[in-house]
Amino acid sequence: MSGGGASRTFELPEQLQPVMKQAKRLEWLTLVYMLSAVIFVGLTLGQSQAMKAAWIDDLLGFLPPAAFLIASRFRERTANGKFPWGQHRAVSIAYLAAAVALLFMGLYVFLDSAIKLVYLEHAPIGVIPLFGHEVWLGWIMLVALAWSGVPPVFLGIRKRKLADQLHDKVLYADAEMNRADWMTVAAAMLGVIGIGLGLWWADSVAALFIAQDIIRDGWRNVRAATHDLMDARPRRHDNSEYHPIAEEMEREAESLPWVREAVVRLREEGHVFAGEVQVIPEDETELVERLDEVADRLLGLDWKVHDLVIVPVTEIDVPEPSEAGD
Amino acid sequence: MKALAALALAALVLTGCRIPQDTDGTTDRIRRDGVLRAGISESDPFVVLEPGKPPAGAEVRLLERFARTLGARVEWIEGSEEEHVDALREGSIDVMAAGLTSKSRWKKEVAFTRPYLTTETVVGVPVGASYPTDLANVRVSAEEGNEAVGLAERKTNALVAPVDELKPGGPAAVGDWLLGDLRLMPLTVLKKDKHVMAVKNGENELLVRLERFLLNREGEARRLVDEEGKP
Repeated sequence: MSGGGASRTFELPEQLQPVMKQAKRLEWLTLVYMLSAVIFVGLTLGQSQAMKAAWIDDLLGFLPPAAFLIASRFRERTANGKFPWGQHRAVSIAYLAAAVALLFMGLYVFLDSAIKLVYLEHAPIGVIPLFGHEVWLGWIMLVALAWSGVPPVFLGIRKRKLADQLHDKVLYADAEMNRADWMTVAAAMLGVIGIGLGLWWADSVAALFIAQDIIRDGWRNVRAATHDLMDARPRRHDNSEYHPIAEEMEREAESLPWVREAVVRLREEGHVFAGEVQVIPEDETELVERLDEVADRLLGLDWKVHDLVIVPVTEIDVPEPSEAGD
Repeated sequence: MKALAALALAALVLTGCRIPQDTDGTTDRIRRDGVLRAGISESDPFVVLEPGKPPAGAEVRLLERFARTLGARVEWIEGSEEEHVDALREGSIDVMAAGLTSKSRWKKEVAFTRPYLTTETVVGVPVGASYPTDLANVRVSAEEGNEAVGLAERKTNALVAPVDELKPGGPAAVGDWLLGDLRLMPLTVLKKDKHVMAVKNGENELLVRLERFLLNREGEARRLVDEEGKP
């Protein structure tokens, strides 16, 4: 490291640790529940396009909880000789791969449904023997869809609260996806009911609606993962704006009498921020000690700031972010 | 979205128990005209077509009985499977019976019923005699050109002899409905077939009615296959 600097083994602040534990429990619950929904919907798929789309949407739901849980393991894995920056990035790479896969699944369902619509394909749904009765499979589909659509709304609302406390964007994305799940399910239900009423096109139209939603989710995830890997300027966990911590750190550094100007450049390493602070000193007495002091003060601002390098420079050449830019 | 859901719910209530309905109203048309148009292709013992005789076979009998539940008679249209699949897709016929099985290549083109009967192709041996289970060097006859010839050659060590006509006496690879007439006992199962019929995709009321009719009649279907299978 040139100049001063500091890093620490990552640990959540004490008051957030129970929140984290609760979040992990909820995500495990989500995974188990998702598995049940995927199996139930999968068993009743039949030939309905809308059901297929809803099923793929359910599969998509595995991604964020898995990413969150895996990341929460990796964050504890500290840097070593082979990976001097730690291994947070492994999660980003896996996330990108999964997001790309799901984007293509969405495109596939979209094209498949569009083709079925153009070629006037009608979906057959027959009966299924159940406890000695022959029940129309459509009714079972509706039950499966309800099971896959209603509980996530409540999971989503609870996870959203925890995500706000933890400033965790994966958890946030997951909560939002769960909360929006009812729309997918409602669309699929309309598709199945449409088939029941002899409206053959309802199925494919519902599937198209769901597919565009999957594509949008997939695209959003690909973008987020790519931006992570490109070291984009960190944003708030809900993606509403740039994270204000960089500016706050600059102000804090510049409040020191010996600092003429300071610029902070941060990137995300999993759940935490790492980066560098370029400082133009007013005078250079006891510079090394002073740099250490800056590092301590800046790291103390927010638990999210995890790894900093402080560099004394004579001139600063870092592009300022535009407010609209992303 | 909410309005749409309410509309769908209202439609559900209004139509009452008539769910599912046909996309093209085939069931209604069959009832109105009193005619069920059935495409049939020879597939002994499911569909048996002989010149100068009315169609026979287990599926023919079943369809006659099914048509009666709709107050209709059956109009038989003979042709190849491909012709019937194309006709079904155009709505020129209502149902197709051709000894189809659940693994048929047409399963994406038309709507199959749930399997109403499972039959087996077996190697049968004369009652009372004993044979090695792998049938090594045992002479097993099978009807020439029937898939049973190939199945027996591939799955057993028997010496398969294709014959023009099966006669009681020695081991044979045959459909299980022939075992009684040939006085054989099943020894090895070579293949299982799950039998289905087909309607047009999207004619879900007709599909569901036919499935409910067939699923209640497994024993009847079995008896019909055994009877119609007699030479």
